Amino acid sequence: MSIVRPRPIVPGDRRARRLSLWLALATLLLLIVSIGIGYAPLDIFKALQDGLAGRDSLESIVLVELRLPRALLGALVGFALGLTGAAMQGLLRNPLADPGVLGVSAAAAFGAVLAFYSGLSLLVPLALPLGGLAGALVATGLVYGIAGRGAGTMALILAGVALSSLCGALTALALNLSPNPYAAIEIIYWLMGSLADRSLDHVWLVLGPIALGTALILSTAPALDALTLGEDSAASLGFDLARLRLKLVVGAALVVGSAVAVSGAIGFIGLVVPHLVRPLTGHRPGRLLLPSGLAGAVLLLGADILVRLLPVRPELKLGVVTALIGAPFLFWLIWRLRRTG
Amino acid sequence: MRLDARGLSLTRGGHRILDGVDVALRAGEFVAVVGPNGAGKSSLLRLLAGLARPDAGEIACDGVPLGKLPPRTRARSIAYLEQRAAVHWPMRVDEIVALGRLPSRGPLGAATSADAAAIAAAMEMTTTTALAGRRADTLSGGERMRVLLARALAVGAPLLLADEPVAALDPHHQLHVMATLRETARRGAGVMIVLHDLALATRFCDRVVLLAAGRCLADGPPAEVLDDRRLAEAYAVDVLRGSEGGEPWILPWRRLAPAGVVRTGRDDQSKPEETR
Amino acid sequence: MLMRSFAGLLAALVAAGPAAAGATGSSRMEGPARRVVSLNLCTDEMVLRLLPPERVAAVTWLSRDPSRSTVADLAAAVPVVYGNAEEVLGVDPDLIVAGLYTARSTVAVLRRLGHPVHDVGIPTTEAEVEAQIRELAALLGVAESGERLVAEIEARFSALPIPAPGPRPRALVLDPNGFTVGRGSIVDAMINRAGLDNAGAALAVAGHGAVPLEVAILTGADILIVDADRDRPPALATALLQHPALRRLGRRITVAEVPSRLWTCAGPGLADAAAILAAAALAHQAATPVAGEGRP
Repeated sequence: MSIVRPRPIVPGDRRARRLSLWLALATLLLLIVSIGIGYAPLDIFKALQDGLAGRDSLESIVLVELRLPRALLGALVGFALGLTGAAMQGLLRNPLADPGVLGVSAAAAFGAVLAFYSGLSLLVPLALPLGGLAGALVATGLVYGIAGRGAGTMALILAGVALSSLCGALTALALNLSPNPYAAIEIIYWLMGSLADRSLDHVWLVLGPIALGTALILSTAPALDALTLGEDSAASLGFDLARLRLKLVVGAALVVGSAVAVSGAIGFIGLVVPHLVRPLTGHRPGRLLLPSGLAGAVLLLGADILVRLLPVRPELKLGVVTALIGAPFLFWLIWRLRRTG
Repeated sequence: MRLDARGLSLTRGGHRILDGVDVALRAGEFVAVVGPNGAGKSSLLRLLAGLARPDAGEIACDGVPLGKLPPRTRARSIAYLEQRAAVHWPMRVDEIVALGRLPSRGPLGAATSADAAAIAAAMEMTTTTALAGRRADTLSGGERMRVLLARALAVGAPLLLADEPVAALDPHHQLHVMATLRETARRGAGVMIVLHDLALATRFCDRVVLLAAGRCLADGPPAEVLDDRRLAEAYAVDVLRGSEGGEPWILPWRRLAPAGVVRTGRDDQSKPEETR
Repeated sequence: MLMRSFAGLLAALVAAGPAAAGATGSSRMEGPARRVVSLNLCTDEMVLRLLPPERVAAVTWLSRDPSRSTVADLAAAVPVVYGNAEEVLGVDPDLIVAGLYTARSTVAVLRRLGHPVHDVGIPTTEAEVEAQIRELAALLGVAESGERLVAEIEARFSALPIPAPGPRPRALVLDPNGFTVGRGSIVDAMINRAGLDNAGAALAVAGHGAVPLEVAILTGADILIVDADRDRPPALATALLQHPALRRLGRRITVAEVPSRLWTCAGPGLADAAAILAAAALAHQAATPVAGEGRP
């Protein structure tokens, strides 16, 4: 490293913007690849023509109702996980935090299971994702109720751990009591995460909450930067930590709740992606948010393309693929943490 | 700009940490808060920085109650440096210093040339300019402390509160930081630091506030406040004194019998007493 | 493949495996059994249809569920077990009838304890259905009940409408979890019996196999056969059948709803399933004069 000369203007912001731009381009490219890849050969141009002309051809149905939502959800869910992972690591100043650390994922899963197996799904078509979202939001209220408005970080983590355990137990209970004898197997599969055969309805459902949650999370960027110096220093720089936590908890609930609701629990993206991107953003937690979200989208789209290219049928669950890639990375991270003490 | 606190009291976990403390910080002043471990020095500084609310008493910033100030306004007025401050991510030094400019920016505001100037000046004062491209995790303890001080200076606030800013530094850099802070005060800022080194307090500070057991034992010029009786009462130590080139110095030399010593019972930060 | 065989096992929990099954039970009884326990949804149906209730010691609890079983009313009159060996021993049976691929650990225990077990496979053709019924009826000493049941099934099959001349419409089964049915299954046999071509066979699926939804759609079948059990407990598996893509597809092709209980097991329900399909075939051919304009 030869850069020891003073630099009055920090170039990191410009580099991060360029990084975001590249990642956005990569996301767009993978979106197109994802739409182009499938199990059956599809004449995309005919599908587009028919789709634009409003003709119900088989091609246009496959393109609009299957390929498009799958690709869009891949980008949205990946973005959600990458963004929230970065936000949680920034908030807790802990590199091992993941989007589910506050119990939001477990609560969303429980909400989805409850909505589905209680029979609500027979009355409301999108009961499962709606239940997931509701579960995540109730969880937010609970975490806040338990931890209290003025709660410190440790209380938040503990509340999240408690909530995760409780929701896991309740999910198991709901499955045990379900009238469907295969419920447990089904939901274990579902929880492994997949984007197969989702519909545009799912996209419309989560678009709003993810946009709102993203806005909330991105608005905390300066506060997360300040938090690098510790809570007192951040507060002395004019940031209201209670409000910061509230924004992040609600934002995470909206964003991760949506992701879990439509795709099940896809692990490791939210944990690993921030680490991959962090060095490229100068380790600045606020500046990490957007690139981490975009890199999450790239990674999840890539994983989802991979499961369709691998000769394994039915396709591997996304959570399985991301875990297989993510777990060795985690080992490496722990090993490195141990070395640096 | 000035800070006036009256009757500050704070109780935590059944312990009275501060008990009716009156203290003021005026522009251009360099004040040291001294006192034994557990005397309430850090708590006093956090209250003055607006990071916690006292149970009783009031703090006014230029006559405005501190709690009434919008947080960003308060942040631009009072810079604060944590005790044992840490940097949790290995950011670049110049970016760490730049964090001090956050209160001056809008939510999406980019760095202005004023920001750049403030950052450069703060790094200059703390001789951290050469460290600009280094990552935080490659810094020594002393370098990190100077970088964090630069961060606090970069705020450009008229008041600076620093909790033990020289604790991790070698003698050279202790002198350097004290000189820097005195220079900051000379340029018009009110600077208040928590300090354990009575020699540095005597030599560099305009005023010393001596706290013990949550009470203010004395507040005034170092030579007046740090007399033998008060030091014996507060610390149970005997000191050596002298002067060099007209500047007085003071050196703790001997422990006194603890009889009559004011102890607070909240002495968790102190090391076990040496036995001879 | 592991996944597929696992999924196949799931299906076999309700149905069973291929037709290679036969009677492997060691029998030490003298004369026909008087207390019969059935451990499989399909053997439940046969046992309940063949025997008077007093000779049925127990059937599985699944048989009381009208959404899964065609003999829920008959099952209501006899005790049920949940498939534990202990429960089965409790009702002291002298013959246990089990599916070849289900409750295997229970069956193994019962065999070890010296109980006679008769395994029944899943038939893949009409002829196998009839042979299976006759074999079990003979074992139970109710050959004439068996003949009556076979005659009833044959009568229902012969009442099916004659397929219209011309090309056969292509039909694709879309089961819960996106499973479809290929050659070598009773469902395939019923599709052909109803005058339809099984598009699933062209997807290189043998027996049951999962197909991605887009493959199912792009196959370009004329008739989509879906499970129609609306009153089942909710399952993720059936959520797929609510996919908007299928709703849109339903606007352009015929959707035939066949409750899966009709053709899960050997019994008269098979003919009912075939009748639904035959009606769908006729409806499709009536709607499509000659050169199927619905094709893209």
